[in-house]
Amino acid sequence: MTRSHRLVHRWLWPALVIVVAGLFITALVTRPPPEPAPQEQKQ
Amino acid sequence: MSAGFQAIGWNRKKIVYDLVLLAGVIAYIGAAIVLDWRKAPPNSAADLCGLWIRASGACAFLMLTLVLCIGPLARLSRVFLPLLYNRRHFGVLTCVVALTHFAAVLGWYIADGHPFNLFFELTKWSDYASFGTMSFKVFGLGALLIMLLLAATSHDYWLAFLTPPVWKALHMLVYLAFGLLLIHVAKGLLQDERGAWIAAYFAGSFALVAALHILAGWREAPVDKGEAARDGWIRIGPPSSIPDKRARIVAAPNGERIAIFRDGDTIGAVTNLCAHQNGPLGEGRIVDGCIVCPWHGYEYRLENGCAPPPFKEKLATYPLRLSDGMVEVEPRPLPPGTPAAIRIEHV
Repeated sequence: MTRSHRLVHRWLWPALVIVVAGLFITALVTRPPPEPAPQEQKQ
Repeated sequence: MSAGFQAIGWNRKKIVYDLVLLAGVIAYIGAAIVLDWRKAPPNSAADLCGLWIRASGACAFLMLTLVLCIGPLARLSRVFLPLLYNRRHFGVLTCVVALTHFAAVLGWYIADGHPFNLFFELTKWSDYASFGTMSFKVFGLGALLIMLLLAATSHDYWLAFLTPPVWKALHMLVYLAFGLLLIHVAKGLLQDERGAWIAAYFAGSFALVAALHILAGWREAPVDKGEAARDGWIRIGPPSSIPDKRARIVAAPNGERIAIFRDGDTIGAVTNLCAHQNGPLGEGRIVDGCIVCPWHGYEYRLENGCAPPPFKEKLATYPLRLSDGMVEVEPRPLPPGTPAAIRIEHV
């Protein structure tokens, strides 16, 4: 790999981790509450 | 090595590699379908498509995780170099599995009686206003399109046409595809699958790939600072400090690496970048007077950096000299193929 490729690698991954982790956590935190089971619905 | 266009230069190593991969994919998807089938036997064609969607999706994610681990693992240890040899076939097969996942999604919509709903979902522009309202399928489709582009340009023809630095930069898009895939899973599968272990598995896979890349990258950072040149020459050390049939790698002041090889009493310096895929030549060895790239076995003569006939690849060479019993290299590349190796009397 050229020096510039190594440099991009070195900075790209930490940035990608921050962005993807942020979106991943957002997707999980904002998911709607689970639908109640049929038994619970009757009650 | 390559001379002209050839569809795939098959050899025993590649055939074995591909057969093992194929067997692994069939076993994984088969096992996933059987387990899923036992849990909830399908009642309709749409259910059958659902089985394939889940199995192929999980398989493609695992495959991409493994493909992305190979590069940094090979940087961290030579043990993993054999995996790198045919990594492109691994990547193309991953794309094929992802394509079957997409085909099953289309099949599901058709079986459900609404063949155009996917198109309507993806073109509901108001959903793109925020991350929360965006369909998870957009992220999957984005990852698939990137993988298709990379699979289509994976052949050596495109590598030569685009030049290795551009090809390499283009193929770094696979990292983005991996990120998109994780978001696709988080906004899709993980909305219903609430188990903590399954979220941990996907997040952990991404964390593993990221950690390996960051570790491999930062471990090499000190080398890229470059050696200081004295009077325009970098001192390597006595000839014996270069292992026979191997190389020592030094970085020029601009950070680009130079591989200084010794073959008995002959010492030659070439760029560390293989003309094929910019592989690290200095980590290779000398066989029959030729430098052999550790990635795909491309060969170059030590004395002038030229590939032996009928191959035409050439490497930039560097001037060498012996000063006070020390080998020194001038970090100024000579035109590719220029003879620059020197002979020494005593090692």
